[in-house]
Amino acid sequence: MTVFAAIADDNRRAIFDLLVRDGGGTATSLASSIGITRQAAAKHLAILADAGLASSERVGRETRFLAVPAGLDPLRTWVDATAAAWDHRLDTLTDKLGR
Amino acid sequence: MADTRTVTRERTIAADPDDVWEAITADDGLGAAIDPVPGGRVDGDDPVTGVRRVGAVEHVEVPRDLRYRWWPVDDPDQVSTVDISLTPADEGTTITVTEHLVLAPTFAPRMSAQRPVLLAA
Repeated sequence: MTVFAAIADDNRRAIFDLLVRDGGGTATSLASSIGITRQAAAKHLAILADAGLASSERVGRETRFLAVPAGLDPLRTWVDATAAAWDHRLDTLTDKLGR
Repeated sequence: MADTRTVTRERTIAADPDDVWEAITADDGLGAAIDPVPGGRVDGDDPVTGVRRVGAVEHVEVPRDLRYRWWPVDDPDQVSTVDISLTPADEGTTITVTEHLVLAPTFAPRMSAQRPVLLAA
């Protein structure tokens, strides 16, 4: 799943923000923080990890998840790519209209 | 604060608004075929990356305002809105384009109000 789809879900956004704010978390701790089941939290964490927004590490019997802020880079490159495209399109339109 | 989801461009072109409108809607002047009626199809390749985008027109006010929603044909999650406005200027027409990345209907207000992470460019 792309980062765009991964963060389009409110619960995943909330989980990602908690990981950033708290420096990490487990499916159990995140589930209780936002009021969803542990299974649902685990599913969201797997999607965040798949999209490059979270990493996991084993701590004893638990899996601890960490935010990967660089996973948001596609959002930033979206701005640069979109600006470049519009500069190009407006150049083309200006040429077409003769100036 | 920098906004990582909105791009705005402004250009003044030496032509009157009717001609600019005509160029955009009838002549694929912005590199996309645009059917300028509500619900009309938008279809064009990104001039830099070549990625094809498709979408639908949402608002039309001839020859002043055109708004549509589109997305890369191979990544429908990456929806954005485009607002193109034409304003008469001394030397012709000023065209202002604003493209805004839409993440989800409920997402934007929460992000700007409480979630600084995404907005720190």
